[in-house]
Amino acid sequence: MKKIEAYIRPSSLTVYHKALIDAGAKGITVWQTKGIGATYHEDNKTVVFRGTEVKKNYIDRVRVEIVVEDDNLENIIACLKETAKNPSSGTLQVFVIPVLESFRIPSE
Amino acid sequence: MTHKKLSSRGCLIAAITCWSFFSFSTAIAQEGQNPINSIDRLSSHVDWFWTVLAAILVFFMQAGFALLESGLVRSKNLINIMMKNIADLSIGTLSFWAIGFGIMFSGASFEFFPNPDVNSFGKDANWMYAFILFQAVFAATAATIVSGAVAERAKFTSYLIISFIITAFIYPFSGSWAWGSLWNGEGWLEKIGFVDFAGSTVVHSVGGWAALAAALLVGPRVGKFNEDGTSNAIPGHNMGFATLGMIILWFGWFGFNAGSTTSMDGGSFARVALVTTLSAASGCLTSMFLNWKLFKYPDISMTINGALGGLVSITAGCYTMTPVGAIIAGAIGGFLVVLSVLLIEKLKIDDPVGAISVHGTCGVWGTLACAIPFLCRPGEAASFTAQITGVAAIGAFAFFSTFILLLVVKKTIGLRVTQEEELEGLDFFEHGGAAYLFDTKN
Repeated sequence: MKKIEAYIRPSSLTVYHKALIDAGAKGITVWQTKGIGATYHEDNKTVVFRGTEVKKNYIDRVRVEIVVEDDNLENIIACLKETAKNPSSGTLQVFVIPVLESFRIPSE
Repeated sequence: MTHKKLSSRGCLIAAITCWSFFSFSTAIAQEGQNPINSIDRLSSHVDWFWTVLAAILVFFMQAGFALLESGLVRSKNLINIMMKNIADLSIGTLSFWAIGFGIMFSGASFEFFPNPDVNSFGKDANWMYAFILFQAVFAATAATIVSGAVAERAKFTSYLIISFIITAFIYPFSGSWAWGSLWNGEGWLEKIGFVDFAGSTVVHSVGGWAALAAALLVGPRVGKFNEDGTSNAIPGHNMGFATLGMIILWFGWFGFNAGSTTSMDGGSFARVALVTTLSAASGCLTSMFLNWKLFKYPDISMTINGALGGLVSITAGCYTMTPVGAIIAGAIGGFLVVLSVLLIEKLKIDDPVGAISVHGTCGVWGTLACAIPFLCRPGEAASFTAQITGVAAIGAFAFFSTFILLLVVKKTIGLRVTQEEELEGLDFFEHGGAAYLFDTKN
């Protein structure tokens, strides 16, 4: 079992959501986050607020988390790659993390 | 609501009483001991006072527009929409005073940069100050309508140009056809019996048609329409803002309609104020129930549009309609708003706040409703031909002139931000900030 963490642009969430559900993702968690990646250029993100320069240290991203069985992993990764071809999606960063165990505890 | 109305009415009465007493005593001092003269003067002063008070109420509608529109856009564009509202208010005020007023009211003499102390064409200079102020806040209202329809994607610079063009030329030019004789002009539409008491057509549908032209040229927001022909909902970020905005607009509309008497006129402003609020209430409920019936929920943003639709629908006929007529006109307005919003969406025109439906569609309906005898007080229905001529002439002029001028802007400096800027939000790229911050200096 693996957990996939993908960092995407907030505006492309709808597209990814649909693609992931179609590819058989059973559950999706999304986080609104801010951060910077390896390709981030600070110089391009400077603004002036009331005369004072402000550097935009972090940019908005959504972290999409999906936990999948090993046999579905490739399918999901392929789906992310396919969706990323759309120019408005932008580059995305993906992490795949092993999951030891997963279970639900039902309420009484 | 009741409490708020009572207390604001109380303040008004107190203010008028104090002011009248002061003015009466000074008038007597100035005019010697002739009481007839003094009462005449006092009576005009009260008219002017009412006009300025109404202008202040109409001015406050800008707060309503700002809140309504900012509530209906996403948080990444909040600064942008607020900036557009304060910028068009300021541009509209200055350009209407400098150019628009001369086009609209001075007939062929084109009195630009009006200074009533020098030239007021036989009217009292102080009255002219009140009148110019009152007309300027109306012009700013017409301008601000467009900001909602092009929200979340129009370039700020281009929007400033749109505001200037509308308040300096388009609104005053078509306005002069219907209202020119209020000062020194004469309009061909008023001569044929066109009735638009407070501006369903002159103000609202001009704004609505200009908004339609602008929305067509700017194009829909990224992600609004899918390739397969379906559309996506892009909900606004704060329905509390939007609701408060609607209530402030409703409040300001008492000045817009009842203030358009610009005089005490035997107290007719009271009738106008009542029919205005009745129409808004019935528009609000109609669209609420219609949406409930069609889509299972009483949707807040549609209900807000319904109340505003009711207000626009009564604006032309607020002086001539009966209370029952106003309720019917408002209900039909509320009904039309919902249908119009759905139709505009079907036509693949993206109007994030429903400006075209509220101001355009209901503006046309409200103007035509003035010609329906059973909605109006006995003998006060307008002629159908005149109403249709007015709606068509002003509508066509506003739409095509805005379209052509914006086409020029589009070809030269562009109407739209880049896709990158639109996706990340206009606040950051156009205004260097964010409305809602989190502590990482974003």
